[in-house]
Amino acid sequence: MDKVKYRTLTPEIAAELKRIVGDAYVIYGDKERLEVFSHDEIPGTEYRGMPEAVVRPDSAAQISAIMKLANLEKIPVTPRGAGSGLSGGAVPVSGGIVLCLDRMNRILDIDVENMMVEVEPGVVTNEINEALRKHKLFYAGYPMSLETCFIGGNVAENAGGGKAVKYGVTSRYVLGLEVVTPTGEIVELGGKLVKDVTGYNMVQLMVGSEGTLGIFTRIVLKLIPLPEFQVDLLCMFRNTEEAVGAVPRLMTVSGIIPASIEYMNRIAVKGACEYLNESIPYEDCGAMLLVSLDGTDQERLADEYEAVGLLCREHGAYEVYVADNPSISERLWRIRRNIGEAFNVFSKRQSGEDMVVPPASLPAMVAGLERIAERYGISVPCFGHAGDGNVHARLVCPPEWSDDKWNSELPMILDECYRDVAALGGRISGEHGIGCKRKKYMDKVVSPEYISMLRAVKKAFDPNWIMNPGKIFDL
Amino acid sequence: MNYKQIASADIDFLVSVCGTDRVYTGKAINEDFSHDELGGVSRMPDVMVEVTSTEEVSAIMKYAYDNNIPVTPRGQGTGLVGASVAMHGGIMLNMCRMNHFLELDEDNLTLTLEPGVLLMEISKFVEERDLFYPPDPGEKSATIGGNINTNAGGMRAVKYGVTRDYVRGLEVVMPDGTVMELGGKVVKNSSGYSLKDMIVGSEGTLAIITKAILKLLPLPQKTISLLIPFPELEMAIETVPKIIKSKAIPTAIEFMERDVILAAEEFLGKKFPDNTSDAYLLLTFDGNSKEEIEKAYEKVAHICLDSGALDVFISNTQERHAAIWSARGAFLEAIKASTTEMDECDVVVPRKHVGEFVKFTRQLQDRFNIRIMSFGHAGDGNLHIYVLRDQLDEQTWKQKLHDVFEVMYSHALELGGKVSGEHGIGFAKKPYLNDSMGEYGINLLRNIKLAFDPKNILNPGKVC
Ligand SMILES: Cc1cc2nc3c(=O)[nH]c(=O)nc-3n(C[C@H](O)[C@H](O)[C@H](O)COP(=O)(O)OP(=O)(O)OC[C@H]3O[C@@H](n4cnc5c(N)ncnc54)[C@H](O)[C@@H]3O)c2cc1C
Ligand SMILES: Cc1cc2nc3c(=O)[nH]c(=O)nc-3n(C[C@H](O)[C@H](O)[C@H](O)COP(=O)(O)OP(=O)(O)OC[C@H]3O[C@@H](n4cnc5c(N)ncnc54)[C@H](O)[C@@H]3O)c2cc1C
Repeated sequence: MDKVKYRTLTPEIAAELKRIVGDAYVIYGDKERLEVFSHDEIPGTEYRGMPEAVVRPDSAAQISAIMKLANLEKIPVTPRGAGSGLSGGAVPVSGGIVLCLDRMNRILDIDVENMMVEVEPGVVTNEINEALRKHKLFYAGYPMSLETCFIGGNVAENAGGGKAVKYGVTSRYVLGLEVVTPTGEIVELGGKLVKDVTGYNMVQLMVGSEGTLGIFTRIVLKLIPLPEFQVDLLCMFRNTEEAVGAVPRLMTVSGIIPASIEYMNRIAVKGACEYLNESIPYEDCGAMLLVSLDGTDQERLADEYEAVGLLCREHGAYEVYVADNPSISERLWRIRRNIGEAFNVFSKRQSGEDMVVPPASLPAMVAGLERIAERYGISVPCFGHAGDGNVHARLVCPPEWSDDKWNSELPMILDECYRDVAALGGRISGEHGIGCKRKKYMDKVVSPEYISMLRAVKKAFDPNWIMNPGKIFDL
Repeated sequence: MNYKQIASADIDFLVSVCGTDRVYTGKAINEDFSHDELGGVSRMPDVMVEVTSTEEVSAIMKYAYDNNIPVTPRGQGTGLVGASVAMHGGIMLNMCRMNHFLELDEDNLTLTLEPGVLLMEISKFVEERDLFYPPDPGEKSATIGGNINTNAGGMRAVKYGVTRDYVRGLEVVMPDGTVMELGGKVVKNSSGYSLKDMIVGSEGTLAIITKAILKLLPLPQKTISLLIPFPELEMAIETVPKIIKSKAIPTAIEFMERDVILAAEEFLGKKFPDNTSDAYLLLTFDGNSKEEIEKAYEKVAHICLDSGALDVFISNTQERHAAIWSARGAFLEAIKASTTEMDECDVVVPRKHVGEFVKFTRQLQDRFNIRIMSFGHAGDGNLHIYVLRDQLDEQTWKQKLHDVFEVMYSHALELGGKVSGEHGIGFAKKPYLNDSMGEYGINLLRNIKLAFDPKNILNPGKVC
């Protein structure tokens, strides 16, 4: 674990924090209220840590004062968005201060002429698109958790998902950041500029840095014209192999790039349908692809979905359902969005993984996963962003296993999974981040030199290692 | 900076790695290697080595690191800010012989290649296979290694983005000789800091690129250009935000003035399709069907006419398209040929301020009594503004250039702009970077530099 020694957050420091943000916005000494901030959305209790204080600032200036104090006193600080993360990024594993950004939730400027929006980090991601709708503009980098997560958390995790196949993930849309550094400086990085080679690209370094390099206090996002029309195809396959095997073909043969290609195996669909009390005919189906096409030209869209539907059939789909109105589309997407939650309810003993491989290697990775699951006798509902080569596999503990057995087998299972991923040129996380959950597996996929380099970069920003320590790598 | 002076033992070492044929010293080094395409900054390296493999680069870096010898990576030397000039002497690593295509992966749509492959070779290679590498900077004889290190922009950035958007993975040699893989064929990644993105645009100061994985797209089947004359430049530029706002997404939006077109005609000895108006917008649209493109450009043509355009010339044949764009590609050379010496300002400002900024720079001509010409990527806010020396004596020129740049860069900053949109900081623009980043910002850059290169031996004296 971390070799760095941190100081205890004393009542005097708590009082100082209250002076900075106001009494009402500091939680200190109240165990019950602090407990809420001790975990994120990872099921189970393994990745938890109690904060000593929770502070809810309202401005970059307040955050700067907090960071100066923490840096001086050697108290760790963990930024927190909505806490919807799945890698323990917002969990204060070394105690100290949790900096909760929920009060900084203003949309500052919708700049139609530059096609950009400027927001604070605590805005719920979906609210951005709600506000943009009347301008017919769109923020395309959002993840599936859009109704709860904050845009700041998205930037910190380089989240993605919704429409990443066609539009890419968060990083592609972040043009500018105001950041409070671990030493309390306020810096502007990038700006309302669509290109910029002025010095090193610190904006892209910040994206995906999981709150370990600084706190974002203002974010400039690039927008696209709202794709007004959308058609979803639900394509049923007999088995996973055929479903996943069709994905690379879909993209290269047709020349059409769908907004998303989501994959769900049968166990995953079944779980979500039961949880939602929803019914779609999955009985004969081994796996499904949910393919979403969008655009501003309705006729062209119709041609495209015909072509894609046909292609799916040619590659083994025995049935293709078309959802061309918002309410049916929403029913399908709701199933997709609720798979994770369904399995949380079903069992607390599970591990959600987020591997990513080159898109064409997806069939090999999923086949490997299924082999491993079979050998260990566990079930693995699999779903996710097939078009990006990014699959969420839930390794679910069989009900009859003891905790001990699960705890000793899981690392072995993951070890094998990640070895496969590495061999295919993949990475541990496509969008959820490493956090404290996956750092022990980093060395399966990247070299020790790479990890040393990450450490050196962190040190350049955070000389006292106070910023969200214990994440991504050990200090 | 205290670097070790190159001695004969060092040459012996380099020869032991690369053989005598690829190690050049003294007079054997062509004078071209003392400068890039920017005038004014020059220095010969002590030794120039043509490397051919990652192993050679790694061995040389390890040696240079242990012995504290500065190393400057060099592509084709077409840069415009002195970034590939060995300002502290030492070793120049010429990457141009590492020029092999390694793998075309048609399932993942990626191309793996060595850094010395030229941009024009890439477009030929992929387009023959109906694939597309979108970044399109003006200088086609640049290396991909140079493009990645300057995060080169170019003509198609409005729709397709810049070099960074197409770099999936890199193999790099660190200043101490360690070889690392960054990124890969994965299309998304949240597994640690994006060091790959640190290297892109780092102007050879953080690591040496020895291999790159580029993302490709399917080749758009149809392209059309519109050349749109306007009675005056401001009017042309004011139209650009309207085009963007209309949500039609052209591949390129370039602006040009009559003077620049005339210079290009003279330089190329060829006529431009039209030179009767004061200013022009040049737009390109691409896509897979004629109908799709027509729909987009008709809308835009109307916007232009409503905003005062005199006409709209459509070039839908390959020849006309090529004629216009080859002229556009020659602007820089043409302006250069029209004067004795020049320097460039490559600022980028928020798109909606382009018009205001160009107007401002034109007024500087009278205020400072000096010739200023400009053209640029109006669609992405990136301008190329040239200050021309003409007959000024050395001292007046230096003074005026300094004064003009000072006001230009500080005005860009006021508008929320930055020092460089695509050509980089290198050596020449360092003073302006200092002004725009502030002390803390510059220190942060230096700390990052030291995290990669603790001895500051890789391309020292550049960026920060
Ligand atoms: C049902 C469900 C579905 C999901 N689907 C997706 C999906 O499709 N794609 C996807 O990518 N993720 C998905 N996630 C994961 C999660 O929603 C994302 O990681 C999201 O980006 C986290 O945002 P948050 O605001 O909840 O951040 P938190 O969980 O609070 O924090 C995440 C990380 O960001 C840091 N952080 C937060 N705010 C800031 C700030 N202002 N400055 C600096 N650092 C900050 C924290 O320190 C932490 O390291 C899903 C989660 C759930 C529960
Ligand atoms: C006529 C003309 C038009 C131009 N138009 C454009 C344009 O439209 N857009 C644009 O962005 N630029 C343009 N440029 C600038 C120039 O072509 C680019 O900067 C180009 O990327 C430089 O490539 P190069 O191979 O010549 O690199 P060099 O000039 O040799 O080097 C550039 C930088 O990259 C570093 N470098 C080179 N190779 C490596 C490597 N393998 N590893 C590490 N570092 C390396 C060097 O150290 C240096 O810092 C133009 C230049 C000219 C002369």
